[in-house]
Amino acid sequence: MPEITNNIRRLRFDNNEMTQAQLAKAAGVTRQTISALEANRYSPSLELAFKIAEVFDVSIMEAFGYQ
Amino acid sequence: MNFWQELSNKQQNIIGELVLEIAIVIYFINKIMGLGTGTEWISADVGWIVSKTVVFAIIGGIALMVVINFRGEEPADERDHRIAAKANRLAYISLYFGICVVIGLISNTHIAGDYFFSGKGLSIDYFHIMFALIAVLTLSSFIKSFTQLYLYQWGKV
Repeated sequence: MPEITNNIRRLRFDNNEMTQAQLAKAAGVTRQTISALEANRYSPSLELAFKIAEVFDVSIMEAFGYQ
Repeated sequence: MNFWQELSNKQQNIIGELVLEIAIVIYFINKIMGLGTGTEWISADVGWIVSKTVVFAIIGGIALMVVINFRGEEPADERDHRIAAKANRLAYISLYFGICVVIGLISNTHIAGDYFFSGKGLSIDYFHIMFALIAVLTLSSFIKSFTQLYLYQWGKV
């Protein structure tokens, strides 16, 4: 079954090693949600996916994948 | 960071609720088991234990609410809502199933005259009905809490 993947960990690293807590605050979710996203244990809503992409100033396709 | 600090505020609150529920169940069962073998189910002794358990549950619940409010509950995000929805669904199914079983036992005893399970000890009186309903409610609450904790820590949602 295809699943949503993401590059959040790499994007955080590329953005001055942004912490999970900082990203969580910017995206309006809890740090645990970011942690679950990075571990591929949570598929975000479209709204959250766009918000995270916006935080990193990248397109949604750069932040998330579908395979 | 240690394990407890790794948990979100919500997970800690769920564990707190679960610990309180388990403490109440252990307290109640311990008191009931401590009764003499000749004690009638409908008696002042049992009534007193039920009353004390209810008071214990209310005081414990208030104390827990005070602690949760004092710590300040963080706002729920979409993952919290999704996990709560899944846990509520499972709790509802178990509650529905449990209520159906109790209704079945009541029907068998009080409508069918113990026709279906005659001599198998499954006929229940009003006191047993009360206990069965409390057990079903408690069990569905446990299922909800355990499901939430599992999904927060290991589940894929």
